[in-house]
Amino acid sequence: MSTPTSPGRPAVPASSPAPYAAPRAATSVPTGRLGIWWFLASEVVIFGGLVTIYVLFRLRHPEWGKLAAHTMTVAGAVNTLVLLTSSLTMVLAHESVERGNLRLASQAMLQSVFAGGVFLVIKAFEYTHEIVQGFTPVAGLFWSFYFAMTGLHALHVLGGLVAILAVRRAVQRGENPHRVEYVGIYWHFVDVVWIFLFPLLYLASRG
Amino acid sequence: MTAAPATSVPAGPAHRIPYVTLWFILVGALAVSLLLAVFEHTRLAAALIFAIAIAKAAIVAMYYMHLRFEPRYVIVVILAALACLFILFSGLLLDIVHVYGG
Repeated sequence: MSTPTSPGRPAVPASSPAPYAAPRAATSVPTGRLGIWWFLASEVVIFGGLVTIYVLFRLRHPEWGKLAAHTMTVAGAVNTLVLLTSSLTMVLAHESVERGNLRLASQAMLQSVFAGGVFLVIKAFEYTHEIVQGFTPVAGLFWSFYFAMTGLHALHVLGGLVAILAVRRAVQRGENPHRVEYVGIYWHFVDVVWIFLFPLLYLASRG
Repeated sequence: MTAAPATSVPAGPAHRIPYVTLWFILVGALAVSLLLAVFEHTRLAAALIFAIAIAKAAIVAMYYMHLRFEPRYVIVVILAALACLFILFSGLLLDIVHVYGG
């Protein structure tokens, strides 16, 4: 007896081992990975929209360079290093899964979670420092952009940490190790967004 | 009837990528961006900083996210999102120019 199938998908006998990650017949991409890429496409429009609108307004407001001088460049640079490192440990977790070493993958994922936590602590410190000086989200359009863009990014970091921990818990039980790659792709995207936010809000604005 | 295992045994890494070497390159690029921001305050420096950011993002996307090894279908999905972004940008550019002037 075969398991029911959707159109275009070959029948899988019930006695056969389940595929590691079932590819879709039309695209040859595993369904979960394809879903992540579609989700990231929507995220590109969200973050890209914020970034492009900020750039348009920044070009009309050269005086924002003086406001950007109040951002904490050192904290932003450290956070960039932290996220790059968390991306490295996340991709090494994926590589460990591919080698069949789930224990090492679990450790590497925990390192990514730790780095993500460090990022959020530094971000909280930055926000506190800026708000105490009077630079709040309603202090002006530059600060509205700054808090909106970095705040939305921080929420994505927080969501990513929850997702990594959930996948890690399953991996520790030997379940669904292929999801390490999927959550990793999302985590790298969070890193890519920060790669653009850091120069936009901390570096180039000083020009 | 025997129970099917949840997953099969992986066959090893699909691609041999020097992840740690790439990390050093990314950190080096970050250092160059910081030096440009601290010592140069010209438009050329700003353009170089953004070019470095694009290169870093490309490295992460192509090698950490394995976009380089994905089928063309995935790249089309991302390009479609960028096309939507371009349409959004173009529409808002006209609106902002109209409100603020050319």
